[in-house]
Amino acid sequence: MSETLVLRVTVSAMWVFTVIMILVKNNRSARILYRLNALTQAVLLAFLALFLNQNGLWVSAGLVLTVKAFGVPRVMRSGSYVVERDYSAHSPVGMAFALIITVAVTIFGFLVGQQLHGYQPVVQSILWGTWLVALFQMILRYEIWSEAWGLLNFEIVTSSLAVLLITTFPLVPDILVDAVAIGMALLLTAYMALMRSQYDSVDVRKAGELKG
Amino acid sequence: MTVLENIWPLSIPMAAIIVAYFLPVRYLRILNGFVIVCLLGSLFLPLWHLFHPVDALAYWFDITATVFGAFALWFSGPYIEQESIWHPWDSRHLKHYYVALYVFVGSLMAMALLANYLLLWVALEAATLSSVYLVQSSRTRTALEAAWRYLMVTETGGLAGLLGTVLIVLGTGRNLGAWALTPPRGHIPLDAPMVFTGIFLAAIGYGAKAGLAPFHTWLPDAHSEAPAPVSALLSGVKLAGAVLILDRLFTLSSFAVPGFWPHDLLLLLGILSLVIAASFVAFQQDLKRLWAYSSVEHIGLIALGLGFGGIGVLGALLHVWTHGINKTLLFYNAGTVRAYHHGLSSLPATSGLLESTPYTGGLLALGATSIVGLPPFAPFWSEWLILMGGIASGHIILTIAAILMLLAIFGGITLKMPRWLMTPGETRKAAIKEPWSLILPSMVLGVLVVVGGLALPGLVPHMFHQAAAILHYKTSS
Repeated sequence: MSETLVLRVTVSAMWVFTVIMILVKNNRSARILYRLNALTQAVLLAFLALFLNQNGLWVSAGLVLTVKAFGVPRVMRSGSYVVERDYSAHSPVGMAFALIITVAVTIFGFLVGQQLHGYQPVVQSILWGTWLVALFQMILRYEIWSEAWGLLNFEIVTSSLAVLLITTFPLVPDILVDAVAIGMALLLTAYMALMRSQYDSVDVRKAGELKG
Repeated sequence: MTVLENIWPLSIPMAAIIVAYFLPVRYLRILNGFVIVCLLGSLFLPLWHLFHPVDALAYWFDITATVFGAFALWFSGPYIEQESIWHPWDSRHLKHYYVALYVFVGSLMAMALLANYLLLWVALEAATLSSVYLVQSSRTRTALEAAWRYLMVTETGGLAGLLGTVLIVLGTGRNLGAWALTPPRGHIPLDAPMVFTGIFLAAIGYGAKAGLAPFHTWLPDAHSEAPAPVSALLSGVKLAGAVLILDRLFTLSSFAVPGFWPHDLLLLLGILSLVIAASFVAFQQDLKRLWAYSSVEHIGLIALGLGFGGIGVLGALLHVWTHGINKTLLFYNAGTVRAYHHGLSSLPATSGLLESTPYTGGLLALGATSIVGLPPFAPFWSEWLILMGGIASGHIILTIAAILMLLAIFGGITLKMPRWLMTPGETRKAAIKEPWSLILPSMVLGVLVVVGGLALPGLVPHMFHQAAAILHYKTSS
C-alpha cells in the first residue's frame, strides 16, 4: 500500500471510532472506543515516523501507547466503575439527527483542511473533520461518563492533528501534553465518582446547569 | 544567557510541591512562610543579575503572579483553617489543597517566565487543572458542579488553543522548539490561511481560559465556589495571563495577516465581555458572584486596551496590576464575610457589614470604591489610559459604548454594595469578631490599593514601557 493510502485509512479509522463514540450507550463501550482511538493515534505516529524518517515520533508513539491506550483507561476505570452498568439518558436529539450533523461538520472540516497547505492535505482534511465531530460530541452529550470520554477523545484527535500539522513534535512539549491527558483523566475520574455519589445519576442535567 | 537564568525562580514552587507532599501537615504553615519569603526575594534578583526574565513583559507578569501568589499562600493559612471547621477536612485533604495551590502558583509564574509557545500552553493547562481541583475543594454539590463546568468548558477551549498555537507558530515560519517569543527577524515564509485559522482557534481557546464572553460561562460559578485565595488568583492573575499569551500570539501573527484583524477580534471579545458584565452585575445576590462578573468586565477592559493598541496597551498592562490588587482584596473579604455570616451558602440576607465587622466591611467598601473606577484610585487611571487609547486609535463609537457599559456596571455595583454594607432601618447588628490573621493580609492589600497601584509602574517606568512596547502590532499591509 502506498504511503498516502495507509495514512488515509488510519485517520479514517479515527473518524469512524469518533463517530461511533457519539452513538454508544454505556461507559464500557466508550472506554473501548477511546482505547481503539489511542491505538490508532499510536499507529499514525509510527507511520509518520517511518515515512518522514522522524525518529523522535517513535518515542511519541510509544508514549501514546503507554499513556493513552493503557494508562488513561486504567485511571478512568478506577473512578468510573460506579457508572459501569449505567446506560445513557434519553436524549431529545435523535441518532439520525446526530449522524446528519456529523456528516455536515465533517464536510466543513474537509473545507477547512483544504485551505491549509502542508503534508498530506487530504489526510489533514479527514482529521479536521474528525476534530469537529469530537468537538460536536462535547456539545451533544449530557451523561458524565460520556462527556468525560468525549473530552479525552477530543484530546487524542487534537494532538494527532497537531502532530500531523507539524510532522514532528518537540519531545518536551510532547511529554507534557501527555501529562495533561493524564491530569485530565485523574480529575475526570475523581469527579465521576464524586458526582455519582452526590447525585446518584449519570445525567448531569439533573445536577443543574452544568453545561456552558 | 541560558534558559535556566530565565526560569530558575520556578524551582521555588516546584521544590515546595515536593516538600509539601512529604512534610507533616502541622509544618505546612511554616513552609508557607518560607516559600513566601523566597518568592518575594526572587523578584529582586534581576538587580544583581542573578535572574534574567526573557523580556520586560515576562518580568512584569512575573511580578504580578509572584506577589499575588505570595498573598494567596499567606491568606490560605487562616482562611483554610476556618474552612476546615465548616467541612471536616482531614490532613490528607489539607495537604492536597496546599500541593495543588503550589502547582497553581508555580504554573502562573511559568505563564510569565517560559519563552516557548507550546510550553506556555502547557503552563496554562497546568494552571487550569490545578485550579479545577482547588475549586471543588469544599466538596459541596455546587462546588462540584462549578468545577465540572470549569473543566469541560476550559479544556475544550484549551485543546482548540493548542491547535491555534501550533497553526500561528507554524504559519509565521517559526520553529516550535524555539526559546523566544518575539517574531523572527528578516524574511520569513508566511502562510496566511494557516495563521487566519490559528487566530480564530486561539481566540476561542485562550478566550475560554480568560473568561472572555461568550466563553465566560464557567467563570461566575468557579469564582464563587472556589476558596477565597483561589478565587483571587483566578481573577487577578490567571485570566490576565491567558489574555497576555493570546496577545503575544496575535502580535506574532500580525506579520502574516492584516494587523487590524487580530486587533478587531480582541475588541469584539472585549466589548462583548463588558456587555455581559453590565447585563448581569446588578442582579447578583452573592458577593463573590458579583466580583466574578466584575472580573468578566475587567478582563474585557484589558482585551479592549490591548486591541486599541498604543497608549491602550499601557493602560491594559497597568490594569492587570491594579485589577489584581483590588480583586484580591475584594475576594478575600468576600471570603471572610462568607465565613462569618453564612457559612458556604449564598449571601442574599447579609447586611450591616460596616457595623458588625467594621474591618472587613471597611476594606470591602474601599475595594468597591476603587474597582468601580473612581479617582484617585489606580483603576481609574488604568481605565482612563485604555479609553484614551480607544479615542487615539479612532475607535470613538466603541469607546463611547465601553464608557456606557462601565457606567452601567458602576450603577450596578453602587446599587448592590450599600445593601451589604449598611443596616436597613433601626435594626442593630451583632458584632462579629474576625481574627487578626484574616484581617492583616487584607489590610496590607488595602494599603496597596491606596498607594501601590501607581507606585509600582512609577518605580520601574522603563520596564513598564518596554513591556507595553512588546505588544505593539506591526502590520503586513
